[in-house]
Amino acid sequence: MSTRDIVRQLEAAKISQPVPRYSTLHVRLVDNPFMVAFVRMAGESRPWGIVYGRLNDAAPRVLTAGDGRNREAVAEICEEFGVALCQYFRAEGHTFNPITKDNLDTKDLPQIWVPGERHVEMFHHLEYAYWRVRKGDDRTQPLTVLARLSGWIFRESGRTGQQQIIDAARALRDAYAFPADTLSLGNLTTAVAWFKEDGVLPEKRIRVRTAGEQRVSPTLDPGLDKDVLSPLVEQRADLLKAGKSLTLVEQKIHDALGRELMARWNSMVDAYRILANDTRAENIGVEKLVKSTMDKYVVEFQRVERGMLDSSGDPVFTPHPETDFHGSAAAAGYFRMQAADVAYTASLVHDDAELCAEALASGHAFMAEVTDVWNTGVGRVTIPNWQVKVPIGEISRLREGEDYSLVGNPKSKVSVREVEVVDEEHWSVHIEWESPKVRDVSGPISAKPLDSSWIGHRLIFVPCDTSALTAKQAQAVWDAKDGVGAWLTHGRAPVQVEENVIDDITQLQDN
Amino acid sequence: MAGLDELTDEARRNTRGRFEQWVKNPQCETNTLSAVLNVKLADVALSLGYQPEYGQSPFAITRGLQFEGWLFKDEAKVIRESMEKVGILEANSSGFLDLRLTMNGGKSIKSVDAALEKSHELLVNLSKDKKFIPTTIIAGLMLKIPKGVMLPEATLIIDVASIQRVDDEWVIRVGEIKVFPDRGGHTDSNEISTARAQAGVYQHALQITVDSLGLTNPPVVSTNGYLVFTWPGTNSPVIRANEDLTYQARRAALGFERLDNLAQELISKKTQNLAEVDLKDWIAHSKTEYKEICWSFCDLAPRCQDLAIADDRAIVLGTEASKLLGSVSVGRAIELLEGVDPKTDVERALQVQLLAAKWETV
Repeated sequence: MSTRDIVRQLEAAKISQPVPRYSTLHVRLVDNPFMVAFVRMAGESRPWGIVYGRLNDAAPRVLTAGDGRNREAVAEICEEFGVALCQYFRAEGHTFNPITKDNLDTKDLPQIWVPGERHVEMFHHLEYAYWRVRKGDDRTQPLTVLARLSGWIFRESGRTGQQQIIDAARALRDAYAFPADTLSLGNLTTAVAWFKEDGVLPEKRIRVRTAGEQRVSPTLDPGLDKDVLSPLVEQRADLLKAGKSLTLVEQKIHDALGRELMARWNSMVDAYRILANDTRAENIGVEKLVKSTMDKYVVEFQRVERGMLDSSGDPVFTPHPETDFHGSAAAAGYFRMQAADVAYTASLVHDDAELCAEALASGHAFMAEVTDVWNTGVGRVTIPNWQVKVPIGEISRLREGEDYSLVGNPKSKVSVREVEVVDEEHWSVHIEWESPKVRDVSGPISAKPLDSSWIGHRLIFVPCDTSALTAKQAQAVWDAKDGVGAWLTHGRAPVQVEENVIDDITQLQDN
Repeated sequence: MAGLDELTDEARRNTRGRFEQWVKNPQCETNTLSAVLNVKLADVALSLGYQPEYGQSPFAITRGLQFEGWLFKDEAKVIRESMEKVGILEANSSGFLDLRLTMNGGKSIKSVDAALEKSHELLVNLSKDKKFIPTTIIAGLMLKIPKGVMLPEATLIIDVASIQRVDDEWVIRVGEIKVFPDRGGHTDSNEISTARAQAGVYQHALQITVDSLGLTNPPVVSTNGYLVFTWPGTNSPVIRANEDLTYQARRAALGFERLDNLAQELISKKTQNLAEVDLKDWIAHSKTEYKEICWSFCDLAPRCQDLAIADDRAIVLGTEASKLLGSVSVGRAIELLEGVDPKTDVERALQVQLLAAKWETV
């Protein structure tokens, strides 16, 4: 947390309300997203109940199992949820019109909302639960497809700037500064209450805290478990043993879990509406992030599913839920994540004054006054060069050889050729225009880089989007398999974790 | 003057839990007293009119017992297989000593004293009987920590321990069992560090117990421990072997020493006999040190937050804001941000920092 963040918190405390963190919104709000929340029995990792649906549905679907430890009952609700999720994601094999690279349209972004981080983790648990198949099993049955989609959603959730899975609590924290501690804001109901509750501090703090007593994590309140659910589950077990009807007791369990699920659902809807009613515009860079999200979805999920449906019977690579078991895969994954990190700020900073100011304060961007403009091109070749005067900031990361863009011109690229100290307060920096060379760029004026009317203007340069280069490194890692030292970097890991795993069915039989 | 020896027997039984509670906020006198005097924070909260929130779900308790029961079933067949696979035990190992109390799923040990006696017997036999062939897995090894550590004496139960012959010496390794799912690199780092810290406490406790016995040829307490988690969604154990517990054990040693000193210091301030003191009242009116982390373990957190709100303390904005603002209240910081004249050097320095970060957007 920077001092700037604390200043924002103080500004929020002054008006007893959350205040916007940035000038624009950094998330795509799909018109009618898919929303889901889970509850699970304490100590278990699979869901006990699921609420899901589209935002504009008349009512969401609430599914529960009689006992959260009963694998068949849990699998049943997961399967129903899985089919709905796959259809919404237009997954291969679940729709007549799957998303492919040929029909990819950013307006069709499938977006899934969850109340918080622990619900994102539930996708990982779902992957663990259903990803294993035995030789000869049908790998296109709904539960295994759900496992692969869940795995993909979980992995994607960790990629900076992705727009497909929205952790509602985090989305609010990213968009606003609250007059509260970060820990409490992990609870979505607390974050939402800061918008819903009236009044001024300090009374409002107490009301927000009271509202936040409603849990939104998948794990239920131990008090509810002890007083309500545990007696019902015990009663159910007794009835089962006596061979009596379970309908009534299971309805009671469903009602108790349903109330909890709906509390999570309502918080999510509130969070969506808060962001949808925000007057700030969507950052123009978000479109690029959405495109990247959908590209990844097609390449990393749909392509695998296409392979599964293919009747050739050839093995299809399925990522392991735990790790990649391969040094090259890990290295390539690292470069892809790094590229996403670079692309995120580089995409958004051109359309967000506050983000730009943050970049300046952190030394990632610099402000400069143009003092000279000249051409080093020969003949018909134009190579615009500028000499600029840069105030030496408290933190500066300006280095020779680095590339920057003129703010507001995401595709522009200048290279820092030389940095000289003029006096105690300024550097004189020689920059060369690499792109564009002869077209106009926009700033306080709109002119070609070689136009001398730029002289005297103060401009901001932000880090250039070098993510494409980083992404290429991911491919280079794989291409190095025939190079020197490949025996060291491309060997397969000897560990086969599957040997440690007791198959669900075997375990059931043993028990 | 009050004496530590006057504390009840029950105070000895949950030493580890009390130590871990104290470590979460050692600056808080209320927390320290609660740990030392073995008075639950939930009870103190209730006495002040706050409804306690924490406690374990009955489902979680059942799950934990079931998992442990599964691991130790049939002479610890399941955990043995896993331990052999990761190299904690050699292949075809044998022998299982179950020292768990019957109330905790054990088969024959009915009392703490019986468990302590059997545990002591094992450690002594490892030392002096050359022909003694120990079991390789022990569940519920119970230790009585000598006087001077936190309380007159304290009892610790080690979830699982293993014994191996290495270079002519018996080596004991401690393990911590958690029902928490191990998701490889995605495993919750807090859960791992908590489990490791707890194993460190066991390692330290076992070391000082062995040292205190004064054995001529004592068994070696390995600094390598292991953590036993579950494969997500199943009862299959996932063992993280070769966990270096050196630093966690050192943390425990330093922590116990500091807590012991604090305990002596706090209790020596009381002129009355402890039996005559209303412990809850004493704890409720001791000095607190409210932090964000208190919400993760302390039932008094709402009360301390109420006090912080009433005093307009910076901690209501979080730890980072509290570090920056120090003793300056939120209201005063807002004034400084708006440009009022600072009254002290501290305020002046803070104002410079706040105004520097209150830039206008470009």
